[in-house]
Amino acid sequence: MNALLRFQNIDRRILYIIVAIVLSVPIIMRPARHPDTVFPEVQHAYNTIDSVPPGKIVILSNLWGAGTKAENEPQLEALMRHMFAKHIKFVLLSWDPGGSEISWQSAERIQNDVGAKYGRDWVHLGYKTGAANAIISGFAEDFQKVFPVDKRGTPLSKLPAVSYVKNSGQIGAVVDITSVGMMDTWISYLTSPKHIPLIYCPTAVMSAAAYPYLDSGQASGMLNGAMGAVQYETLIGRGNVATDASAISWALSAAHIYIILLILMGNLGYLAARRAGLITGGRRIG
Amino acid sequence: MSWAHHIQELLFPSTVQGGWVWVYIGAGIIAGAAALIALMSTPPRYRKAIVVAVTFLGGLFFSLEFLLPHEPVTAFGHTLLGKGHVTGFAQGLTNAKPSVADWAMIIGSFTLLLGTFNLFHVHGKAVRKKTAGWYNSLAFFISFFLIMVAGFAKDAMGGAAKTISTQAFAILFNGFVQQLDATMFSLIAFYIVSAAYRAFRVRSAEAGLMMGTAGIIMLGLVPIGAILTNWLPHSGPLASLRLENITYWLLTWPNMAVQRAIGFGLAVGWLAMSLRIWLSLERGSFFDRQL
Amino acid sequence: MGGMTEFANPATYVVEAILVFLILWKILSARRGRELFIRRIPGLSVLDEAVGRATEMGRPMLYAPGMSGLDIVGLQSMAIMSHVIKRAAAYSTRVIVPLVSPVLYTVAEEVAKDAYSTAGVPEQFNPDDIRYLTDQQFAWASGVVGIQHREKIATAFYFGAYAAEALILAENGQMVGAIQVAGTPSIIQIPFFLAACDYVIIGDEYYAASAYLSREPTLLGSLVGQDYGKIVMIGLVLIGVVGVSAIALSAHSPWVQVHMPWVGAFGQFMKDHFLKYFPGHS
Repeated sequence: MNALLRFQNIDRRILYIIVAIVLSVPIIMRPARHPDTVFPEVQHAYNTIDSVPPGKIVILSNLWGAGTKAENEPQLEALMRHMFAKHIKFVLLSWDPGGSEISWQSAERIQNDVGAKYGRDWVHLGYKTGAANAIISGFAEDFQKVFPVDKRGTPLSKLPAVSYVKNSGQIGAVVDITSVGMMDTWISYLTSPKHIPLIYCPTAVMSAAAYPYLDSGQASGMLNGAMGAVQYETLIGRGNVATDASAISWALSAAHIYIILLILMGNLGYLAARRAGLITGGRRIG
Repeated sequence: MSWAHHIQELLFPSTVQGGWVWVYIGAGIIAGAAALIALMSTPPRYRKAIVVAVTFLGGLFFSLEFLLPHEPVTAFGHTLLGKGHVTGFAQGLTNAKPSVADWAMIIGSFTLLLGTFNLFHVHGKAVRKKTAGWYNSLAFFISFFLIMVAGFAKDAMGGAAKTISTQAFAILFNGFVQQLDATMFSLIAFYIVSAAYRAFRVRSAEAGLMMGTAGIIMLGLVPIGAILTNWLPHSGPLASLRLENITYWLLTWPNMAVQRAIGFGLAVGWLAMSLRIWLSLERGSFFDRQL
Repeated sequence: MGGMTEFANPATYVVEAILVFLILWKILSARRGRELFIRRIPGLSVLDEAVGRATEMGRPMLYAPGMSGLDIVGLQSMAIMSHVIKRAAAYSTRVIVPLVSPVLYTVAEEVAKDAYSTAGVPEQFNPDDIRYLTDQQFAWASGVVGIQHREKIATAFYFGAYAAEALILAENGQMVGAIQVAGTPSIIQIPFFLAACDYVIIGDEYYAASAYLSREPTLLGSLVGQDYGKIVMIGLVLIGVVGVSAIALSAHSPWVQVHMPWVGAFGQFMKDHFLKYFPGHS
C-alpha cells in the first residue's frame, strides 16, 4: 500500500529524466520502419496532390518556425518530394521569418537530392507580413501584382515555374503547413470561394479541430503532425527509408506508452490514497 | 481617357519609374503628415466621430465586396438587378483587392519597425541606466546587430565577405536561433508528462471515460497501436476493434461533432465582436476614453 | 465542395441578416434599460479571490494576453485586463503584462493607464510593468517563464490567443505555486490549460467575459444576441439534418420509396432550395 501511495508523488525530475531517455533512444537509432496504416485524410491529401492538373501550381504556405520543425519540416519535405517526382511546380511562401529561412534550406536540400532546379521547378516568395486575409484575397485576383518578386528579388515574370501565374485560376491546390492555424483564412478568402483544394498540415495537437472541415469538404486532406508525414512518406515510396519522420513516429510511440503507464501509476496511487482516507475528493487551491 | 481616369492614373499610377518614385514618396509623406496634423488640430469632440467614420469605411471594403452582387440578380423570372452601377462598383472593389493586399503588407512592415523600435527603447533604457540584468539587454543588441549584418552581407556581398558572412549566418541562425527555439518547444514534452501525471486522476465515471478514450487515441495514432491490434483482421466486424479504426471513429464522429459545436459558438462570438468594433459600439475603458 | 460561392448567396444574406439583426436588436434593447440575465461563469467569478490571494501573499500578478495581436481576440483580452487591473488597483497589487505584439503593447499601455485612473490611483501605474518582450512565440514564452520565477507571481491570468506556449506558462505557474485562471478561443489549448490551471473558461465564454465582468448593457445585449444567434444555427443544423435524412432515406430505403414517396419529393425540395447553399451538396 505504501508503495502505491508513493506512486502519486514521484519527483518530477525522475519523470523528466525517463522521458528524455524514452524520446532519445528511437531518435538516435532512427528506425526505418514506417507504419503500415495510412489514415484516410493522408490518402486524400496524396490523391489531391497527385491530381493537380498540368499547368497549375501548388502553394505551400508555411506558418511555422524552428519550434515545430520536428513536425512541420517532415510534412514539407514529403510533399515537396512528391511534387518534384510528379513535376508539379510549387511556390513556397512563409508568414514567419525563421520559417522562411528553414523552408528555403529544406527545399534546397531536397532539390539537390532529386536534381530539381530553382526557378524552373519551384520558387520561394520569402517572408510576408501583414493582414493575411488581405494578402490572400489580393493575390487571388492578381498574383504578380501582390508578389512581383521572389525571395531573392528576381521578378516572377523571369521564373518559368510561375511566370504564367496570373491569379487563382492557375492555382491547383493550397497546402497550409502551420503551427498556429490559418486554415480559416485560407478557406474564407481563397480555397472555398475559388474552389481550390486545401490540404491542412498542422501539428498533431491541432489536428483534432480540423475534422469538421474535412467532413464538409472545405479541406481535402490532412497530414496530422509527424505521423501524417511518415504515412505520406509511405505513400510516396519511402516506406523503407530511415527519415526524421520515422524516427519521430517511434519516439512518439514510446512516449505515449510511458505517459499511459505514468497515468495508470498515478491513478493507482490516488485510489490507494482514497482507500486509506487520505483524500476526500475535490481539488484544493493554494 | 476620361478626366476621372486621368486623376486615377495620377493618384494611383500602375508603374512609377526614375525620379517620379521620390516625388510620390515625398507626396505620400507630406499627405500623411498633413492628415495627422489635421487630426490633432481637430477639436476633441469631433475626433471620435472621425475615428468612427474611418473605422466604418475601413470595414466596409471587404463587407461590400462580399455582399454586393457581381452579376445580375434574377428571381421568379424577373430581373431584380441588372448589370450596371452596382455590379460595376462591386467588380471595382474586387479589382482593388491586390492594391489592398499591398497596403496590408506595407502596414505590416511598419509593425516590424514598431516592434524593433520598442525593443531598442526598452533595452536601451536598461543598458543606459544599468538596471538589474542590464547585460541581458546588451546581449540583445549584440545578437541583433550580428545577425542583421551577417544576414544582409551574405546576400549583398561577394567573394570572401560573402563566404564569411554566410558561415556566420549559418552559425547564428542554424546553430543558435533554431536550436534555442526548438529547445523551448521541447520543454512541452516534459511539461506534458508532469501535467498528465499530476492532473489526470479518475475522480468520476466521466473522467474514467475520458481517460480511456484518451488512451485509445494516444495509442491509435502511433505505430505501436497498430501493432498491438495487428492480429485482428483488416476487414469484417472484428476490424472495427483495431485500435486505429476505433481512433479514427472517435476523431471523426464524437470529436468532430464537439469541435463543430464549439466552432459555431466561437464564430457567432467573433461576428458579434466584429460588429461591435466595426460599428463602434464596443464599450470598455479603451473605447470610451477621450481622444 | 459544392454550394460555396465566391460572393454572398441568398442563404448568406438571410443568415447574416438574421444574426446581425438579433445582435443589434439586443444591444439596442439593453441600452434602453432592459434587464438581461447572464449565468455565473466560475472562471470569472473567482477574480476577486485570485486578486485577494496575491494581495495576501504580497506578490504580483501576471496577466498574459498570449499571442494576440491587435485583433478581436486581443481587444477582448484588453477588456478583461482592464477589469483585472481595476480590481488589483483597489488592493495596490502589481499586475505585470508581458506582450508579444508591439501594436497591442501600445493599446495595453493605454488600457492599463486608464484602468488605474478609473480606480482612482493613477500613481500606481508603472509603465515598466507593461512589457513588450518579443514577437517570437517561444522567446516570449521563455521571457514570461522568467518573469513567473523571478517575480514569484501569486496569480496568473492567461487570456488571449494561445498556441503551444500555453502549457509552458501553465506548468511554470504551477511550479511557482500561482493560482491560475485561463481563457482562450484556441480550442486546442484548452485541454492543456485544464490540466494545469485552476479555472478555465471555455470557447464562447471568452467572448462573454467582458460582458460578465462589466455588466455593461451593450456587451450584455450583444451576448444575448449571440445566444439567439446560436439558436438560429441549431435550427439550421436541424433543418439540414431533416433534409439530408430525407434524401438518404428516399435513396436507400425501399420501404420509404414504396410507402412514403413524399419523403423523396421533400428531400429534393430541400436540396433545391436549402442544401445547395452549403458545402458538400452541389
